[in-house]
Amino acid sequence: MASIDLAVPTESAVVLVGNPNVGKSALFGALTGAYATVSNYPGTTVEVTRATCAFGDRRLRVVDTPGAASLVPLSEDERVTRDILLSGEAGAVVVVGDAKNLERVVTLALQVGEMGLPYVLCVNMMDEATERGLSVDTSRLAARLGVPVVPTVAIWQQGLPELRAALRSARPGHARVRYPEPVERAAADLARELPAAAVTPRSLALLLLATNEAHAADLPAPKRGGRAAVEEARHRLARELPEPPGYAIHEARRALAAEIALEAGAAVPLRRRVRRVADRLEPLTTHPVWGYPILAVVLALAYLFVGKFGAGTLVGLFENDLFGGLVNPLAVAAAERVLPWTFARDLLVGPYGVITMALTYSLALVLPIVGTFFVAFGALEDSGYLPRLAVMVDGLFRRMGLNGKAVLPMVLGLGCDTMATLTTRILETRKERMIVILLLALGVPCSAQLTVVLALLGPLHPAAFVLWCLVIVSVIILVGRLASAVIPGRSSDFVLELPPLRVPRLGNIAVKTLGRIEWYLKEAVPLFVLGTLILFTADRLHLLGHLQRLGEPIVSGLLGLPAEAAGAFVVGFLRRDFGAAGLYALARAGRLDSVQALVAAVTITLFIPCIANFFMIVKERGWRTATAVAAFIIPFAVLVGAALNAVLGAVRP
Amino acid sequence: MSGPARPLSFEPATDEATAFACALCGLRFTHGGQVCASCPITHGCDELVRCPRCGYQFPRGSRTLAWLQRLWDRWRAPSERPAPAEPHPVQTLDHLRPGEVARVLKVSAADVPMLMKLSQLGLVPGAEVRMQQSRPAAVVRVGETTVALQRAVARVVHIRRTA
Repeated sequence: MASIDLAVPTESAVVLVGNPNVGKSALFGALTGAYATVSNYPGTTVEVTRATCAFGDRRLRVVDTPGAASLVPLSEDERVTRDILLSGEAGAVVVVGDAKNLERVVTLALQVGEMGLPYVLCVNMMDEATERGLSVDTSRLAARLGVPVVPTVAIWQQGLPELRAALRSARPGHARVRYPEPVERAAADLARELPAAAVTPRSLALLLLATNEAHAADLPAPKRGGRAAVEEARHRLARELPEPPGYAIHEARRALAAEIALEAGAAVPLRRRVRRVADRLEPLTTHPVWGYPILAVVLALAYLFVGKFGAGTLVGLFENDLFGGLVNPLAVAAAERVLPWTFARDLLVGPYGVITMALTYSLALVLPIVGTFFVAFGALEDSGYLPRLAVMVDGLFRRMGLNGKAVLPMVLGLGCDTMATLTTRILETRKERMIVILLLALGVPCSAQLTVVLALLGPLHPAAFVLWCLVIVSVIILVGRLASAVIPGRSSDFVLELPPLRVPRLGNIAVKTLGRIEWYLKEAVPLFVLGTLILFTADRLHLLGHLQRLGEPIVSGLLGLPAEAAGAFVVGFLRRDFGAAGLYALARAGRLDSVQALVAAVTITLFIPCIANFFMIVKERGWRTATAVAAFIIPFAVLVGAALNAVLGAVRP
Repeated sequence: MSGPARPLSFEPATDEATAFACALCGLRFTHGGQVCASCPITHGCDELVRCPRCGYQFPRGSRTLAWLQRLWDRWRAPSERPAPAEPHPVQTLDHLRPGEVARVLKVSAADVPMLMKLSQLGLVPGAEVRMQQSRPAAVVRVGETTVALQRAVARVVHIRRTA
């Protein structure tokens, strides 16, 4: 077989860059077979994902990046994308765009070409463009840009062989943006002073002139004068131009992109568009009147599926029938026959046994509910409904020093607070990120925890669940408002693109759910086992009794719970759901009355995030912030629990 | 960076919210005619209006009552209702009513990130926008893009109505 001559050196990678929510991750998955989370809202990918892919007889690294509207970053996730391109890792770039919005992807492509990086333009979502009566002349685009242009439908794997083949002739292209004269001059002056880099000096100079201070810290500086020289050049330019330099540079690119896009795409005027069913539904989902009933229906459906089917039917099946009726008695019987030592027997099947506690909690109790939650959440993510929620809650969030966009990480927190903490990167200011990180750690229950709370409150009067929701939501709003007053900095204005509503694809939901379940098993089960071992050891050394006596003033005195609940709070440090599961077991044993169950549910929900979340906060915001968050949350959770206990105790039936 | 730019006022101030008739002398005047400029508490007294001729001070009037009054009038005489005044064609985006279409004339955000973001979403001079809804947040369509934005942001986009 003839060896394939790729224009791409072996050690460097193929980097996918593109506008937000155009299907980069779907393309990444289709190219590499590795799974990157695919959803229908911008900001799904906030970190770089790497995998390898076969091109002919070679395997190349493929890098998936967060979506960026421009390589001049406005937020931290866009900065990640810029830095990958500047790092020199990119041997070739695939610029991915939405066929329905050529102007935007061409703007990005012009910047990549300007950097001198060889690239291929991938026009994705061709199916949706066709459905809307839009046509794209790819050969015209290729001629204007001077690079290969490939139409694709990544989710149905269409156009991928062509894309792979086109990668061999990736080029920087010949389209050149003409900037206003003062910009050209300033860029040329600056370019001469810049150290050698992976991209052209001209593009680096333009980047320095256009980037505002917040995102310029790690850009290379001129040999003479350093950062001060750049600032001086920016100020000089600002005086010479009628508008700010960053905007002038952006507008020059956009104007050329608009010209090219107009030539290559046939746009159908707004009023003669082909009507889709979703077109009629879309305005209703954010409607000032109908939006709320629709939200209620969505929530009710999710509750029926997760709360009733998952937490009721499936848990009954797994916990009572499978584990209670089959696995645990079998394990106990086997252990008694095979293991002669009481110690080993207790370790596996005792009251704090690995099988009877860790595996029963994590597999029989939490897994079915988490599984159904993942299915419901996956469907919601694919539908494009979540960003519309941002429109509905914008007013409320504004009062907490946030804007509607912050609902995305908060809702994601219902899936996993740890991942959601990472997603706060899509927020624009430090203040907003801090507030959301705090609220996630404090009040937003993750799926695993939510489920145990549902199980804990399920047998009680529905009012208990309503009360729980009320308390948690008011705490979030109250703490949000306080945090907004205390944390310095400014909040950003609300501007958010709403993706089209789409029918969720079963295949994607299945893949996504399986991926998340795998992650749950890998991350949660070992921690459940570890927590059980800690409890087991403490029990053996008679520390548990000491601990319960030590915690008694708080646990029994303030919260009015049985002393055994102290153990649940201790393992709650590892994972909140483990703590909640411990409380659930107490409730099962009839040790908690309805007031106690409610107080326990509220306290454990507000309690310290799991250890993984804690380390994620450390990673994102440093030790000091993480410690401060923890130091606030633990006493605060107890305080709210105690207050609730005092109030409910007074009206206890 | 300063806050959002002060929007240019293209609107003649003659709509019902700012036009008054003095209850004492009958002078018709707009809110701009009040002579309270030197009063130290003028900022706090948004609800009081003062007649520039006779100096009589009266409350601006309850919006709820005015609304009920309009509702009542409409019910009483649906055909005699005057046709709504044709709105001024050049305004800011937040004045556009749901269903109306306009062309963007100019974007005057004070800070560069906001200018760039609006530009990236297609809100640039020459673009055709259709207002889908104005509450709880404004939602507009620009070509194939749907954009949600808060009123303060819509206020920096100057438009001319086309339909």
